Amino acid sequence: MYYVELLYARTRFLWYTAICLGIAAVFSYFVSFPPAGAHIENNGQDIPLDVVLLFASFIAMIMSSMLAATLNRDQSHLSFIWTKPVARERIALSYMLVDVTTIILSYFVLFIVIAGVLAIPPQNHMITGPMTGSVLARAIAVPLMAYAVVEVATSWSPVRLAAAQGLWWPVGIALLFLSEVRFPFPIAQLVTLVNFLNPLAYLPESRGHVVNVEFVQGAHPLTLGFDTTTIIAYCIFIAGCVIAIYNWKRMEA
Amino acid sequence: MNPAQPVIAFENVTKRFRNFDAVKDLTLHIGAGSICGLLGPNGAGKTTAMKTLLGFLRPTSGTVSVDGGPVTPSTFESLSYVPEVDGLFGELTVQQHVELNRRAQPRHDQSRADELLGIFGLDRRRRVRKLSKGQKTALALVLALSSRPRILVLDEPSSGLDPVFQRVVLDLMIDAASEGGTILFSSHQVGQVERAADHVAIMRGGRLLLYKDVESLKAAEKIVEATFAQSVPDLNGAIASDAVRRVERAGNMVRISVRHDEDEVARRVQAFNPTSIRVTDRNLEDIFLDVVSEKS
Repeated sequence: MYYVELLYARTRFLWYTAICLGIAAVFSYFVSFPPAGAHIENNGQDIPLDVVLLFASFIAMIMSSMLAATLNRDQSHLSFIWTKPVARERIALSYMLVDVTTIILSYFVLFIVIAGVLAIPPQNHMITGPMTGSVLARAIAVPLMAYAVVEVATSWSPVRLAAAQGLWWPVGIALLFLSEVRFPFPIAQLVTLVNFLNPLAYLPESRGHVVNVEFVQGAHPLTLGFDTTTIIAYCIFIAGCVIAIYNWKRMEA
Repeated sequence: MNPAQPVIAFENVTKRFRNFDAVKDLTLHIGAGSICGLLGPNGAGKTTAMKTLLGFLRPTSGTVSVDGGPVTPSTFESLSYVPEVDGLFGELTVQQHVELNRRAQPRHDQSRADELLGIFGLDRRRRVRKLSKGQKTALALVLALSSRPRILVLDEPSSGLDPVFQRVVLDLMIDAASEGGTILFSSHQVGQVERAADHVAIMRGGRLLLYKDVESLKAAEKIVEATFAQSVPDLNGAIASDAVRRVERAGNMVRISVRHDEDEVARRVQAFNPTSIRVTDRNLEDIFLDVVSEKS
């Protein structure tokens, strides 16, 4: 039954890749052949790989949003797909495997494109840091977690909840800002707790030259260690998928 | 499977939504090779009963079984369903739906699918969202029948189809049953049930009002139909008896529904010198209207 999701994901992946390559091509062209009168100064820069990894993760969440709510998307097709000799868990799992593979592929496509564009000026150097491995693990975890959170939020519903695919972004940003406000006990703790389910809270984290995103720098709600929060992100991803499958299986149509 | 065992069985099934019983205490057994037509006004509980049978809805109480056991994914190797609302994927083409069916259904028969696509004249390259309602129904039927299912559940299978294809659908159902298939289908068109079904189940307000074989049902009551030269005389006193169930007048014609004693009633009407008189079987539409109005 993964065939339907494969066709859906393939279409979005091709668009996504085409747009990434298009932007990269335009950018590369202007770097390589600056317009007359324009001068691009580049005396060689050290580009931290960690920043590229996290930036790619942020953009890969767009693909997560496009593919998320998979199970809910099929609510008007249940009479068709639930009457095939395939267990519902297997159908749901096959959909998710297609989506997860597409998200990871999208991530690496974007990473390669960004790295390729940045490497055009010969003086540029991509440098790794002591945390690059951990950052890569985090960078992949975040879009997967975003996918799972939207799946859980929508999989139980017999009506279409397409808006959730885009609505989680403003909700996530609002939660980050709320974590900056000095709320009294227990609201502050509650906001921190809810932020554990906010994919955006996992993305930017200050690690030397790893990342420098000002608006969350001082407000990061997750105070646990870097690797611990990465593990939490993967746990939320896995738990989210399991809960979503259970919700979907139990749904009445 | 025990040959005496029903292929489809509802045992005291009730399905409640909040405070509303969509299906109430439904017990219905459909044997192998039978075509059961499910009739009922809107909101009778026909679709809910079918969805409960297929596992889309969990019964509040009672049990459903297919081939004597609960419905599991493997049940759908031999059971196909055509829903009232198509359930197809608008973005996919006709061919992609056939491909999806081929991948998901081990008993998919490609030559049968090709044959059915030809019968309904469906363009394989066309996206489903561009098909008419009737074409979508036709595609749903192609997909359901291409695995040569032993059990077919169809909810309004000829919805949106033109009369020619409605006839084709009925013929396909009759063919399937003649090969031993068991069919449960719902329809608002009593004529379709009368033509295709050997059993009829009538539901209203979630309850099963009647379940019988069509021929004995029709034979149990007769119609005495008389035409008069001018207006219909007052027959009430002459024909009044327990056997007379209903008297309908239309212009200079009168139709009297009679149970068991049709010859005596015809003799009494003859005394009023009609220009013509005949005794016929009741049609299913009369029976349906009687049952539904009688129990209301």
